[in-house]
Amino acid sequence: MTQKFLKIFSLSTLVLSTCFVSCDKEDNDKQEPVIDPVSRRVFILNEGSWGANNSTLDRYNPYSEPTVLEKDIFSITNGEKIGDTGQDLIAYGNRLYLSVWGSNYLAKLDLNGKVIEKYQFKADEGQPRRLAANGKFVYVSTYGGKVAKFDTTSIASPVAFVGVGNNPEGIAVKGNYLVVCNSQQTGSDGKSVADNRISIVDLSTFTLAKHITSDVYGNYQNVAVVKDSVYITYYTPSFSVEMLNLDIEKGTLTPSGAARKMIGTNEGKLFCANVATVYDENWNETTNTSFFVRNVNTGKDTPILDLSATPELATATVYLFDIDYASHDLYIGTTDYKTNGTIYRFDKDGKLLDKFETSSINPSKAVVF
Amino acid sequence: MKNILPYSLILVWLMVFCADISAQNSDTVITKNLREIDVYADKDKKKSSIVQALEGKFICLMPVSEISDVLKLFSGLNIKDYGGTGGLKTVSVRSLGASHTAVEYDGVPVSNTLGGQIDISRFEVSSVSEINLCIGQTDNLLKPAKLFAAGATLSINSFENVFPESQKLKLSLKTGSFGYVFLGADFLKKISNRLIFKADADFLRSDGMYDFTLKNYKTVTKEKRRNTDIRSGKLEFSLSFNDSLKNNFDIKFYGYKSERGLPGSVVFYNPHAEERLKDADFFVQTNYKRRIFSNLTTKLIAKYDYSNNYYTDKNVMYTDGKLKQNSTQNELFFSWINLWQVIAPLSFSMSVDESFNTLESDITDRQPKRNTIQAAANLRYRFKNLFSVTFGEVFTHLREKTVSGGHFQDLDKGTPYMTLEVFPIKNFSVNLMYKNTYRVPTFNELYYTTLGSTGLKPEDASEVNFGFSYGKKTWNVSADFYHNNVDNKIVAIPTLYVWKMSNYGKVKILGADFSADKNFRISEFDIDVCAKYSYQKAVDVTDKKSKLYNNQIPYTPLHSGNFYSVFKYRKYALSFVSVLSGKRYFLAYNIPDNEISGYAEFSASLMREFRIKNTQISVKFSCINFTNEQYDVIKFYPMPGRQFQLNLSLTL
Repeated sequence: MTQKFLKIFSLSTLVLSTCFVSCDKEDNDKQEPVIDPVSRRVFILNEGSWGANNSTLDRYNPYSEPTVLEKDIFSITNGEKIGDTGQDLIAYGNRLYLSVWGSNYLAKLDLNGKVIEKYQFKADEGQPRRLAANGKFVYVSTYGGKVAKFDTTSIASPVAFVGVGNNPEGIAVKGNYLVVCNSQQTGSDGKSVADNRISIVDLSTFTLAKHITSDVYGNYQNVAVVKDSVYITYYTPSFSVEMLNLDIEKGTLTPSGAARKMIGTNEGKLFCANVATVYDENWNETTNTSFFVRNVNTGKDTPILDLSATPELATATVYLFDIDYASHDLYIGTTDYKTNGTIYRFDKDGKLLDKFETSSINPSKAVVF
Repeated sequence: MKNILPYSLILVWLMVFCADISAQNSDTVITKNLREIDVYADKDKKKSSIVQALEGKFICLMPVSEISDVLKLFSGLNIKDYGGTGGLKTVSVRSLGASHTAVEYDGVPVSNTLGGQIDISRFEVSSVSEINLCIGQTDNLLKPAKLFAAGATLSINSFENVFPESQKLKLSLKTGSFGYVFLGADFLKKISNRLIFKADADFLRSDGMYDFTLKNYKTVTKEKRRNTDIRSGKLEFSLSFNDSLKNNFDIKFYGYKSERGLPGSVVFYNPHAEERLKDADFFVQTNYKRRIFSNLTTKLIAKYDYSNNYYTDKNVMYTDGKLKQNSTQNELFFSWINLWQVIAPLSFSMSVDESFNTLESDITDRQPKRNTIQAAANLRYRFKNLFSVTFGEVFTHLREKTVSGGHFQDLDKGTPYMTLEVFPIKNFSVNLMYKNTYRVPTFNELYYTTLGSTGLKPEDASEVNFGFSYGKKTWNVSADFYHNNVDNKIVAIPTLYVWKMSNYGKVKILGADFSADKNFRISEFDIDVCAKYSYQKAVDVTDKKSKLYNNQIPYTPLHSGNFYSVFKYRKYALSFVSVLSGKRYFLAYNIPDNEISGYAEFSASLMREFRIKNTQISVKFSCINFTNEQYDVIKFYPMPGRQFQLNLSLTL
């Protein structure tokens, strides 16, 4: 009797454990793509969702027939993932530079996504946000009220830090200046206060040249340089995103319409994506998304893109808006914050060329080599 | 392989059921309500299969260190366990969400108006005399209206229904892996034949710095969980008067204080964690029951609860490098319950509750005050031993005020429910249950700075259960099939700038729970075995056009189960527990990248009791997760691996 019971007991346990754990074994047998040699490609950074370590880097070949998307090349190349919330990606000097907010590092990558060098930020330096490059240096804004300067020959340690405003976001080089958008800061009581200062850093001395302060605006987000003009985006108190024209010499900020995303070109064009959203009391949104280009010489805005094949873009949340400066193809990435992002590629005449799903949530940056 | 899983669990279930071993009388692990004896309740009736219970004297034989470990042995539950001694542990029943589960402690509801979810880790498992879970509707009609309004009720009872001869002192020492030390003292004194005094003091400390295996794509590293320390202390005094005929009166004073580190989720390449939390809780509750006439019983409950949470974080992104959030909640709760047996088969109960809740907090300028009146009416008709039907409705009247800005809308809402139990043959019962329920948005969801939204509506849910149970004194089997819906689900949705709380989402849940338990007696061996299996398909049905349509909701395994056995031989008890879960998704989008692997955790304990003069001594050695399974219940909150624990208790 006892033997019979023990037999049943052992068998039950074995069957149960085998069945449950076996799910894991199957999951590990995923086929991995082989990465092709590099030619001219578009690198797409998916920010991922906070706390989920699911930021990825995809590589897209727009010139092959058909086009090819290589997903998550960072993990495949390095054998480990980017980590938590990839924040910014730039291409500079035949290298990619990647800042990762949650995982708290700056990495220099080759064009296969292989990490060549990495700098892990220390707690008192703040976590990295946005990137810019000039000469032989890469600059990184950090949520420690700083901008870090790295020599591109080696990013193993920063060359210098300069103190700016609170929790700086977008940065861009304009002549001998680095324009820094300061956002907002949460106080010890949990309340957030917008910083109303744009910081101007003198790149020759890497010191703070001045703050441009406004009594009206604050919580600045991004900066685009178009020939001689500088455009800034900022959050209004009602959470819409609007543009300002910055005059560094005069220290003035002038309203310049509404746009959530913007790209400046050397030809004097400012490409803009405006996401105008209205919320009801339950925070259900009604979104009206439009795309236009501004001639900064004349100040005239002209609608772009034929959305007849992609009517969903007219109500989509645009999270990525970048351009291939050579072909003038526009890359637009949308998000619902829950599922993998969608990328739309339009040619310079506004015609849809391609549409595909990325490997993770929140595609935030596309750079072209 | 995936298809074999449910069949194998059913096979195990059948094996336990069909084992041809002669049954003899012994204690059963499924118990009745012990203390809250309702003279009109059907005491000898077979328990409904949607009621699950474990007695404290049985729990103490098992390799469990917390109440959440015990609840993992129930079916149909999702325990959200963030890992470690100080990690948050909440109970969601049949995918309704943790806020739909009411928790009562010694007959009085426990509330958390700020966050909604009750952290069950604050209750000490060794002080428990019984844990009871009622899904849908409770059998006992002598309950506060608040409990009738909930989707499920978890009852934790610390009172024993055995009166001591004179006095009893129980000293407990528990120590184990990760710097875990627990010291407890329970003192019970019979002041008179009608009056008992009870005092209970606990102290707990743990470093909680356990090793875990981190898998980062193809790179596997050994890591250590940090900022996981906890210190807590509890002091509890109770006075209980019982004249056994007409009157019961209890009063309890409870104080709890803790300080812990919050390790946060594992972030690749960045182990920095400096979040801390201090909790302080004090309540006094009284419970008076009087049998006015032979067919009329009345009960009065009153409670005052003060709780304070102080959260801090260090990061240079905050002004002065620190974030401090202090929240204080106060609650006054009253309940008046009457149970009237109108004629022999017909009972009627009426409960009226009133509660006042306030919040003073740094997280909002609103400083809300909530006044809730709830009334529940129940009518039960029981026809001989053939069937019993109960109809009931809870009506809620809620008004809220804030110091400034908007506030939650006025709420007047009725929610009906019905249970039918049929006993066509002896020892066999069939039950049908329908319940409409809802939960009111929490203060966090309404008022938390930038996140909160005062336009929220209550989150609605409905439960339908059909089940049967069959059993005798030494064995029992049950099967339940259910269909739940959750509508107006309260979730955080992204806006262009911040996340906001919104009523967005519908969830459809189809599930089945199977359970079988048996007691054997072979010579001097007394053996209890139990196997449970749950199937839950809980899918998002919010928007047919969305990629998420029909996707399984996060943290809900399609298949889960557990198995436990206790072998008693003279003064020895050997216990074995296994908890099993299939794969789950940690994000709403059901793609392989968002999967969490299934797991199987096995634990065992050996206990020996002996007596030296007048001292009863119990020694238990437990090995929890003895296969050192590395798994997450919540993604990137790794659970501890193998751990050892030694329990020593002296009863004088």
